[in-house]
Amino acid sequence: MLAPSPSERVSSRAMQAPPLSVRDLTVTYGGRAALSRVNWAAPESGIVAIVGPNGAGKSTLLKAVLDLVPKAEGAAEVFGKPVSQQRGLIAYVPQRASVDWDFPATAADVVTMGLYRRIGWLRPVRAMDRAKAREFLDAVKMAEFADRQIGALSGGQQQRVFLARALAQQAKLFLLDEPFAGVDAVTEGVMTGVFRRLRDAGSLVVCVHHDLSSVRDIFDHVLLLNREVIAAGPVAEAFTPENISRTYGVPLMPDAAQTHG
Amino acid sequence: MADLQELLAVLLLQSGYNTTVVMLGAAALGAATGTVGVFAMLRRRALVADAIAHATLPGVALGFLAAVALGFSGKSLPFLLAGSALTAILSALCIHWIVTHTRLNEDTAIASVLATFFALGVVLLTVIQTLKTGGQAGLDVYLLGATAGMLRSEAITLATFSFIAAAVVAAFFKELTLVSFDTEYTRAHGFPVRLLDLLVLALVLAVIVIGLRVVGLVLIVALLIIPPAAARFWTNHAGRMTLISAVMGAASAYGGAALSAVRPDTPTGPVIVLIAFAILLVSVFFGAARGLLIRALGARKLSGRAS
Repeated sequence: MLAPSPSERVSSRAMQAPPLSVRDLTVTYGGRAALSRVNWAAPESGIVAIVGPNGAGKSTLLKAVLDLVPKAEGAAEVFGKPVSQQRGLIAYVPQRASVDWDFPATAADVVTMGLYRRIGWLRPVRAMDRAKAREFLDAVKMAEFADRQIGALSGGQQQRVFLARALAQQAKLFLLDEPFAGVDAVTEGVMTGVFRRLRDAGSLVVCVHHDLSSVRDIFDHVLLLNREVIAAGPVAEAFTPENISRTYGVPLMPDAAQTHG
Repeated sequence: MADLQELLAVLLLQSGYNTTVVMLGAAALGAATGTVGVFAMLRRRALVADAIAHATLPGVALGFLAAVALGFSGKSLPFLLAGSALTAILSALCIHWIVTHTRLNEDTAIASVLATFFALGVVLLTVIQTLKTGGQAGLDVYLLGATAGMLRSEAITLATFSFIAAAVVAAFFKELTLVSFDTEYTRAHGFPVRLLDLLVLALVLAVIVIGLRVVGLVLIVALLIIPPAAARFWTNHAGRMTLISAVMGAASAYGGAALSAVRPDTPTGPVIVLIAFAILLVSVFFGAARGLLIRALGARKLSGRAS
């Protein structure tokens, strides 16, 4: 029904390039390096956790990739091209704090926003778009709250609405900033299920993640970050006690700290 | 009693062609400010709008002087509108410069710029009063607004610009909603956030300049902010809120213009604002989506579904 957009055609040609790669990425805040020469190529598909202590630059990495904060050095590419040419392939879920909760929008309205890019400039939202938005709400088990004002939902429900908005964008690369922070068990289950379906459909999901104890259950790849890359790879290989202690600067084993130094 | 009958006749547009045109022009202006005001409110530009409005005063004075110097009538609308737009833009630039180049916050910048430009305007007006050109007597209508004595052509000009402003909002409605709701998301997905913000500011500026003649620069911000604030109590959808706000703005301006037609001495701006405030008051208590009454009834689900 929908003709492929130019960016989609570009992507199928450039599919061999990783969905997300950063080279020598350095970001400074007021003279201090928030990220220092980060090099990372994401897997072709999967569910990736970016893990590290507070101030490690996890959110900054996503924001730098999206050009929301300036890069002091280095570059980021999405499917082998600069991000600015690939916006249609990316869905970003910011931290929940970035939103005006009193805004006159229902859950269904917020999900419809995910379609705005496809609808295009100067074109109105149609009934067809609203119906589509309800389907995506259904996919995160939020259909019955479609007409609730966004601020009147619980934190977990809000997070599911934002996930539905991301799904509505029909992206290939999903970047989420702490999607699991402060959500209920139902939401965690729904989001995990959605991420697996996206992975199985060939998409890449990248989450900034805080809770070390759930990494193994939810994710299949991990990027351990503390201003620089400590380790990256499949969870089974990279998410080792040694790497974790190097990331958090708390030596679990004295000799592990020595190997690093 | 006779007054009431006359008011009714005016309200029903039975009071002559010129009055009718002026009232419809005022209503169009109210609809435009109500529409643009939604985004001034949602994007939190109310205070900037007020500063811009007050900063039009020196522009009005300069427009008068320029018109006189070039041999036109001092009160010719194009000169006054151009002058007020000029100093309004200048004030917005000043605020922007102060915020980006000094350590003063936006609040402080807005208050300083508002007062300074307004003071400059008052001084210029005083100087103009001492000139021997004549025609300066009517300039004070730009302070508090007056529809009495407004020309048909003026009303048609205002209505035309009002429709253009409302049409621009309609054309970019999706993107304006997006940037007001979630700026970070909007920027991340490649929308030109700076341009959209500039568009909101440009629309605010446009309706302020258009509305000076009717509402006056001291109170025009109220016609931008009160209708959307009232409309918010009736619905949880940005689109419906904008329509309701437009209707409320139009009704306020229409009513103010009607009263001015009956009592030409009454300044139009304050009357319009008081009508808008009455609508706000009713909305706060009885609004179907978030009014105090519906909240007191504990009808949380109802408020979510009512609209």
